[in-house]
Order: sequence, then C-alpha cells, then structure tokens
Amino acid sequence: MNSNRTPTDDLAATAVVSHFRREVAEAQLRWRAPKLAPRPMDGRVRSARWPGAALAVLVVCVVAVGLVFGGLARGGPGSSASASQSETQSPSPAMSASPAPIPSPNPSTSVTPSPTASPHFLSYGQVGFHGASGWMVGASTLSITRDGGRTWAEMALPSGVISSRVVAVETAPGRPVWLAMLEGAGVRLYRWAVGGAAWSAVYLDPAIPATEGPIQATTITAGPGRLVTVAATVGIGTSAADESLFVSTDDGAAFVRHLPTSGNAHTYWHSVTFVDAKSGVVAVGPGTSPGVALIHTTDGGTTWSDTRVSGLPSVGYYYLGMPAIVGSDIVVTATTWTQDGTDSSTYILVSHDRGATFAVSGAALPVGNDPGPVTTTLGGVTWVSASPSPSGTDSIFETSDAGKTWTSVTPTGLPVGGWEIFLTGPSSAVAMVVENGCAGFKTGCWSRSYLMGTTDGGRTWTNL
Amino acid sequence: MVVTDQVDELVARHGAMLLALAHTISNDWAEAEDIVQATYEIALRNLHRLREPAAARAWLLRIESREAFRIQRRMRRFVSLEFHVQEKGDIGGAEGGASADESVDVRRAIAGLPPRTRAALMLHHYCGLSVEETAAALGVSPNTVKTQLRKGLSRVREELR
Repeated sequence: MNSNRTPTDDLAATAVVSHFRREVAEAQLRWRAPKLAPRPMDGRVRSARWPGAALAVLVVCVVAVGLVFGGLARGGPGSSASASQSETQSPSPAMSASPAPIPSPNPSTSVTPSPTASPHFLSYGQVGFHGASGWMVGASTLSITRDGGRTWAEMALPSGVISSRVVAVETAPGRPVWLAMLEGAGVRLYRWAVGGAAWSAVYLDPAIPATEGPIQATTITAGPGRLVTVAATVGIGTSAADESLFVSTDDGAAFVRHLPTSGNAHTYWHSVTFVDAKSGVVAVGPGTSPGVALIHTTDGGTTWSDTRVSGLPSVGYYYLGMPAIVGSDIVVTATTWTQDGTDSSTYILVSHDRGATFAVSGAALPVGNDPGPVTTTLGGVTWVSASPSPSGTDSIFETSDAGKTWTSVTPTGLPVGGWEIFLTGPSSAVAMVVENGCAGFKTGCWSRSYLMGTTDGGRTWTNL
Repeated sequence: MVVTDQVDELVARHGAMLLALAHTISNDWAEAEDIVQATYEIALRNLHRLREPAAARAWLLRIESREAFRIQRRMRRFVSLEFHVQEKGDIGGAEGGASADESVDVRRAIAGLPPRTRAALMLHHYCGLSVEETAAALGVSPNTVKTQLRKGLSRVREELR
C-alpha cells in the first residue's frame, strides 16, 4: 500500500494523514447511536435521511437475524458428545404437539401484505420462497402461500411457540411446512403435513457439547422427493465452528443424524443442498478461494471434501447464491468481487457430478460496481438483479441456458435495491422490498418492508 | 447471511471512518450522514453475502464512495457553505507533525480539491487502500487515481511552503 508515494511527497502525505485523522476524530464525536423504532409508513417517501434510520434497520435486522440464527443461550443441559455416528431420531409421542384447533392452510383466510397493511417489519429470514410456495413469519402467525404470493393462508404457530423464537421455516410445492425453534441444546422441529390438521414435532439433538456454545444457525432445506435436511451450527466465526446435520427421506417424520468428522466442515454453513440422501454440497465461509467456498459429501454428510471450481478469476473475492437443483445438475451463481480495479461479474456454475466439481457455464455477466447483485434460480432460469450502470438503475438479467445468453429488462414499479428476489415460476417472482425515510429532516423516521410480485418476467411489479 | 457479531463489529469499527469519508467527499456533515445511511442500507441488503470479513472495510468504503458520488450527482445544485462559514479549530489540535496553522492550510487545500481527489487521498493515504482498491472504489482507472494523488499532494505541498 502507498507504494506510489515518492519521497518528496512525504511531508505532504503526512499532513494529509493528519488531516484525515482529525476528520475521523470529529466524525467519531458526531457519530451517535440512533434511537428509532421502525414503523409502517403513513406518508410519502422523503429523501431526507440520517444514519439512525439505517441503524434502526440494522438493529431490526440484527434482532431478526439473531432470531433466525438462534443467538440465544442454551438453557438446557449439555448433550453427549458421541463420535461420528449416524442414528435415527424419530418423533416422540410426547413431543408431538396437538394444540387446540388450528386452521389448516386455506386460501380462504388469505391476507394481503401491503405497504400500509403489513403488520410487522419483514427482514431477511422472515420471508422465504421455494418455487411457488412461500412462508412469512408474523407477530403471532405463520402465513403460507402456494401460488407465488398472490394469496396467503394464516396458520397458528405450534402451541407454546412464539414467532420471536422461530429460527427457521421451510416449505416447497406439495411438501409439508417445517418450522424450527431452539429448545435446550437442540432444535425442536415442527411439521405440518400436507393435508394435515395439526403440528407434529421431533426433537433433534445436535450432540455438540454445550461448552461449544449455543446453536447460532439452523437451516432447513427441502430436497428432491421427500428429502429434507436440517443443519445446526455452533461457533460461527471461530475456528471451533461445528455442525450437526440431520437428513430425512420421509418428509421429516424421522431423521438420521450425521456429525461431520473430516474434511473442511468446520466453518459456517451458508446453504445445504442435497440431491439425494447421500450426495450433497454445502457453501461454507468465510473463504476467498473456490476450494474453501464449496464442500461436498457422498456419504450423507459424515465426511466432506473440498469441491473443485474451475473457470472463475483466480484473484479477488466472490460469493455464491443459493444452489438450485436443475434436473440432475446443481446450479449456483458466483459473483466475483475483484479488487484490482475491474468491475464485478456474475457467473453461472454448474455441477454435473452431484457437487464434486463445478465449472463456469457460459459467459460472465458484468454487473459493474454493484457490490451485491441479487440472484435467484428456479428450474433452468436464473435472474440477476443488479445496477451495473453509474445511474444506479437496477436491471434484471435472465438466462435460461446456464449463462450462454443473457437478456435484460428494466423493472417498472420495483424500487431500486430490492432486498431479495425469489423466482416463483418461469416468468414470475416475488421481491421483498425494504424502504425507510423521514417525515421531516431527520425527524419522524420510519422503516417499512413489503412484498411485490411480477408475472411478466420482471418487467412490471405490483404490491402483493 | 448475516452474523450478529459481524454486524455489530462493522458498525462499531467503521462508522466514524465512513462518516469522515462521506464528509470528505461532500464537505457537509448533514449530507455525510445521508451518505452513511445510504451506505448502510446497501450494505445491509448485501451483508449476508459478504463471506470474507477481512474485506468488509474495503467493501464498505467502495459502497460508500459509489453512493456518495451518486448522491452528489442528485444534489449538485446545492453548494455546501460549511467550509467557508466554519473556520473552527481542529479537533485534536496539532498532531502527526503538522502545526495548527499548517492544519488549517492543509484543510483549506484539501477542501479546495475536486471531491474525487479528496476521496482518493483519504482512501489511499488514510484508509490504506492500494491504488487498485482506490480505483475500484471510485470507479476509475488506477492511472486516474495516481494522477489524482499526485495533484492532490502537490496542492497540499504548495500550501505548506
């Protein structure tokens, strides 16, 4: 760094550094913790903003993410630390919750989130879609959609469960609804079967010593057929990160527990994608090279090996989207973030061998200086929402041939920088939008979040 | 995905620096706060994708630089008067080898530079970004950054004579 400075510049450079040191000192005095509670907007959007609004969003996100990842201390006794083993955990009758009458998911009880009607603040982790099926965690209910967000059915949460303790939810077309909350040292996984009338539950014991800390991340992923996986991670951000993986082939009625014992498994698991009960790929982090970012297993999750990725630039950073199963392949987006002055690009990575290797398919999609384009893949279609132009206007890029060709549209009605976009069909999608602003100059600040949908390939968006 | 500790750490560690960079670009503390907010909004939307904590600072600086100049384009009809009406003493007094008089001169010299040159000086000389990283943050070529740094230091050197 600073290698281009010449000796004659030393005095001037020293003065410059001193100047900016004073600037930062003054900024430190001006920097203040905001006190702001997000609320639905009741007026028009104003451009006047202050850091407090962002920090309020931050606080909400931190809380929400903390809830999703279960940043709660373990309250129960430690569990046994058995070595690498696989064992079946079946639901105990005593653990099967049969609460008072609960309405089954039925569109007749639909709710329609809107900017003014959203009863709560949504954030990443509180809304999710798997194809046309989606879920949204409310203040006291769980809403389910089976038609890409057009109609929603409210479900009561399992007896004794409050939304703030829900750490993960998952569903998929034609599949049950799964909901997880932390309990003691493990995870209580609730399931509402298709056509069912009540929640059932199974307790998943991660068998991680309590001394390693609380479960910080719980991920439920519906796979092909009746496959469903649950991953619990402790020690995120430390060298002691540890995971337990539970695999079910009967839609979650019973699980086999795997304790990863070899390979590069002791890092944070961002996503879990199994193509069958034995073969799966996990995106792990942090990492700056392909070998670190993806690992795969062929024995159900007990042993893991680095996945070889070819075709990406050899320098800089990259991050991955959510892997998707397309036929017999696994497809995932990778956005490079080089620090050599060149712009970012998004690539399509395809694995034809169940995650053992990935290779770039097609051409790179330049995304300018966008630090984090939103990507979503469903079937053979991938969308990338990015703002590669200096104007900051978002475009939606689409490929249906694994990156060989790209088309783009300019979305109408979708605010710039939608938080997350989910493809719900070949040409339909749902976006979770987060906005904030102030009624006056740094006064009356608000935050709101809501869902928007498109059915014409991303060209026009309307509130759901 | 976001890890709570990482978010807290990012805010605690980089907030003042981001505000200072925004002020360096805008010469206006109120506008600087807007820029920092916009930066956090963008960062929050994308933080769950940040896999390399060590890169977080450069990542935030890059987001803010880009956002600051985007906001400036929107608001360029407004002229900041802050520097001209606020010839206040410098916080921290003379340090780092520069006297109080020198610091006023340097402040005047830097404030008179084009915003991108001011940003380049801070990103490179204070934040420690390489020429290439600074270029990426500002959306210009490394050669342009080298020119900006050379001209910026030359201007400061003139004030110190």
